[in-house]
Amino acid sequence: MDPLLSRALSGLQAADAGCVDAETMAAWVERTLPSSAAAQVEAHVSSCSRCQAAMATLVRSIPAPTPVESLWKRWQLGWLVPIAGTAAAVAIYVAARPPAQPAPELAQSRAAVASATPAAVPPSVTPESDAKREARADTAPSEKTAPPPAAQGNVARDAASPREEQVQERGRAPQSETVGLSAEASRPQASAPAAPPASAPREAQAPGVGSVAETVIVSGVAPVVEARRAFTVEPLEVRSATGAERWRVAAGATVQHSIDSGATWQAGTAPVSGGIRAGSAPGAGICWLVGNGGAVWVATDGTTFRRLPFPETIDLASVLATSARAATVTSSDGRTFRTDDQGMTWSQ
Amino acid sequence: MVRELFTRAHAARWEVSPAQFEVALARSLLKAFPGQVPSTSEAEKYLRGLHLEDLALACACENGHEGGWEHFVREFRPQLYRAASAIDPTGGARELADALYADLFGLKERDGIRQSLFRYFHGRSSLSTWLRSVLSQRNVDRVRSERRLEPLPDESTRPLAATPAPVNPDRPRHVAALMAALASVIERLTPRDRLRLACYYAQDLTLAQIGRMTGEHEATVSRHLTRTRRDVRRDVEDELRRHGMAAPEIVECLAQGVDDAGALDIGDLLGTAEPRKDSVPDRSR
Repeated sequence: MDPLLSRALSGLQAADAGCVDAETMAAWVERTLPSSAAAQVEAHVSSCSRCQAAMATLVRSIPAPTPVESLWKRWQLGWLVPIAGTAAAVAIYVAARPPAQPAPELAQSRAAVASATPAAVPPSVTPESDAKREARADTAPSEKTAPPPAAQGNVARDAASPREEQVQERGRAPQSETVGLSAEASRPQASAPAAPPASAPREAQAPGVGSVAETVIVSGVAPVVEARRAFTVEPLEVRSATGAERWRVAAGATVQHSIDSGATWQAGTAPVSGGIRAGSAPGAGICWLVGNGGAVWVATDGTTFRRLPFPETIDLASVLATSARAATVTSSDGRTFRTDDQGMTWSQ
Repeated sequence: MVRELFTRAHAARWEVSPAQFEVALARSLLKAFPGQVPSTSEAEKYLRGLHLEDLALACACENGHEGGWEHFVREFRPQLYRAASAIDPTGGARELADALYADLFGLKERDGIRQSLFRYFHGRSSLSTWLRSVLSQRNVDRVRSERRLEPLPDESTRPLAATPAPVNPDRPRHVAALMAALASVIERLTPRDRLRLACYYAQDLTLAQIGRMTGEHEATVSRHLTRTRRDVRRDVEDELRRHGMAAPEIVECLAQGVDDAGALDIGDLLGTAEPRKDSVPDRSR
């Protein structure tokens, strides 16, 4: 149709009379004519080749409106991008960075950690070794939790933080913890013929040793607690949906329980083992904890944790519990296990 | 109210008297409401919508006020020349711009009185757009008059084809029917649709330019053009069907209409026809 339309419309004749004068045409283009007059002009121009041509010429002669220059360009603010970005990065860094510890204190704390690490001891398979393994998980990075190079910077930074005092506390831990640390130190040696010197500082073996723990990012609404491996010394804390009821797993000891938003804590009846990595609190007094080696613990009265059977000896990364009997556990290799009878049976 | 408009127009700046400005307003009213007496409210609304400062400047220039002319030359003559360059980059419109400038100054006299073109400006548009409009009309008239004076192409210089193409005996009838149907359908279009089509197909305006003319976004213009083109096609086929043509004949008719170069195409008759129109260029930008 294009050639036909082009030919038909080019063949329009100029009107014999009533052509639009220059000012009316200009006013029509500027849309300042009354609607009735504008309609008359439009009707005429659409049928008169001369006025069409004049109108087209007029439109061509009017410079195209320049697009409104954005404030961005007008003020030439482009240079602010890198400056603002840098300032934001610095602000975030400063806000997130803990105050630096004086170097002598850092040396002392490191020495304390090192002195608390005795010679290598073969790993134990007794039930007691679970507690030791937890202590190891809280104080030394395992192969799986070894931080990537970027994260190692965080470890080093944390080692220089006031939390180092907590590391020192661990260094003065009871014998069982000390043994746990020894077990951790001896584990890599199973494949390595030569054990590192017991007196060597742990930081020399792996940056941040002794500062690795687990932290919890708590959803404010859902009773789901996601545990995240982080290289801090903060204990894992599980919060209920309301936030008032909390459980804290510190240094592989007993789970502490609080019903007043963490103002006061009550020690649990027995320690949990297994390097607790995540927890979930679906209801009052109910807390599920999962950890390494297929460790699944549950408490229904807030303080008494009972270890549940689990079909595989794998590290468990997260748990989502909906009641005291039902929970879904995700392993570190991404598989999901579900129980509806408090661990009696598991479906994958 | 005239006093208020006089003040708003800063007419005193150009030493335009209130009486003269009032005459200019009255002329403008007569132009806008020919043969009728507007009501007071209509007149007031109209007068308040005028480009009063431009009207005052036009009055001053018509009077030959030196300061007014200096202002005009400084502010508007460059615009006039830029418009001329945009209309005809080869420089043809520049001559028109110079001639227009002379007419504005009023070199022509009638009955001993200098006749300035400014007397035809009534403030209904801005002065710059009015100048462009006058220039555009003059350029169109110049082009049309030159086209009439152009000699017809010498057909004897065109090489003859060795074997003339066979002529379909139904072709003239088909083409005539098609063009009649097309003219009828185009005539029945709304003025706005017809204007868009004409600006696009006959005046070669871009979608953006058409949109600037009609106050529409170019995407809207494109959408309307597509719709109108589809409607025209449908209506032309209906029109041909009413003339007793069957579907195959309508298809053949459209094909011949597209191929046909006109009612009297010597080149076609001699078998030297060349495509008259290239495919429609993309004018979406």
